[in-house]
Amino acid sequence: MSRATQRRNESERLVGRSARLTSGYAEKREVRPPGAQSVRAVRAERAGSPGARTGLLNRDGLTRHAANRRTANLPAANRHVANRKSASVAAKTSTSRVAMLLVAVCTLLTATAQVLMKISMAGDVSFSSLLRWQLLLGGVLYAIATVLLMFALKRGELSVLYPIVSLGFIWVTLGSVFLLHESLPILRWLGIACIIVGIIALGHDSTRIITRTPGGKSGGRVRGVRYRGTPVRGSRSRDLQDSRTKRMGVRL
Amino acid sequence: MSAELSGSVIVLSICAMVVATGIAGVGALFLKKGARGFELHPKKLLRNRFLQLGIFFYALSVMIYMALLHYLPLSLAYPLSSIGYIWVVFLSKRYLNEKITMWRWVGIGAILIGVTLLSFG
Repeated sequence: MSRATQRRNESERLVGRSARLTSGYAEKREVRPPGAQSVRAVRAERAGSPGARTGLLNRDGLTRHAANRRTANLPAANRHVANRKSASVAAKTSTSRVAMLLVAVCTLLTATAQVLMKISMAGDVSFSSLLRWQLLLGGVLYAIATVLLMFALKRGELSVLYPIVSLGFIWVTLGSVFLLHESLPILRWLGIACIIVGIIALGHDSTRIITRTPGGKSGGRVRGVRYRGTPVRGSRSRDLQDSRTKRMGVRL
Repeated sequence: MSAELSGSVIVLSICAMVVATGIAGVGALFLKKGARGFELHPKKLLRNRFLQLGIFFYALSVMIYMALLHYLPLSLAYPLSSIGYIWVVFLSKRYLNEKITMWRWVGIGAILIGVTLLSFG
């Protein structure tokens, strides 16, 4: 056996061993036959995306249409942030502080209305009791509260704004203390404190858009954009277009 | 109400209460849907089907709530009514694509505890 053959046999043996060692990994890897679609297109086709063959896909293997549908609930000015990393958008939240304040005022009005209606229903309940001024005023307050609530819901998320309605419990309790001079045990004070803490926790991360970037230096970092839609750093021309659509009145 | 009946009546009215809070949650969902195009204009208000549905469901839940207050003590009715917040969270996650962060669960948990303390304290 010549030296050359010996060397070749030796190297084949080594390659064979290394192939055996790595075969466990090789099986897991997706092998693409020559001429096949890119991994991205395959992924898009699996997801049933209509633009899979045309190749109009963003970096997450989604068509622009599909990406926009995913983020349809966002204000137009902020949608680009979510679209850019649509596969990795973990959270999209935006609720303005004005909206939360509006709901708080709303609960004060409804609490007053409830007390007024209760007063009007005291004593004998008859048809004439439906015309008492307390009941009418209560109804008017309810209507104003509903309008305020609608304007609040226009610029905020339901899951943040609706629990703020629990402020009504606090108003009723404080009213019974200061107007009806009832005593307030320590447990009730604790309850009021708990509700306030809960509302603060709700509002804590609700005024910004959160996107999580999966890899790179900023892996898992949270980037914030204010509700008004100031673009984040590194914005492109698409951002300008989005702010233009916002000015045209497209918003949440 | 007889003494032996009251137990099952309370259980039944607790179940009804959970349903009523669910109806209120659906009402809130419709209100949110209707808020998108909300304006104080009579024509727009008449056309806003979501708004009308929302008010209808809300009123329905309030009526059930009022009826149940005859059977349930207030100390039980108040904490039960705040189950609605949990309903709303799940509904807005499912139908409005809202992301429920950890802080929101913390907030809702604290509110539930607070309401319970207020009604029992």
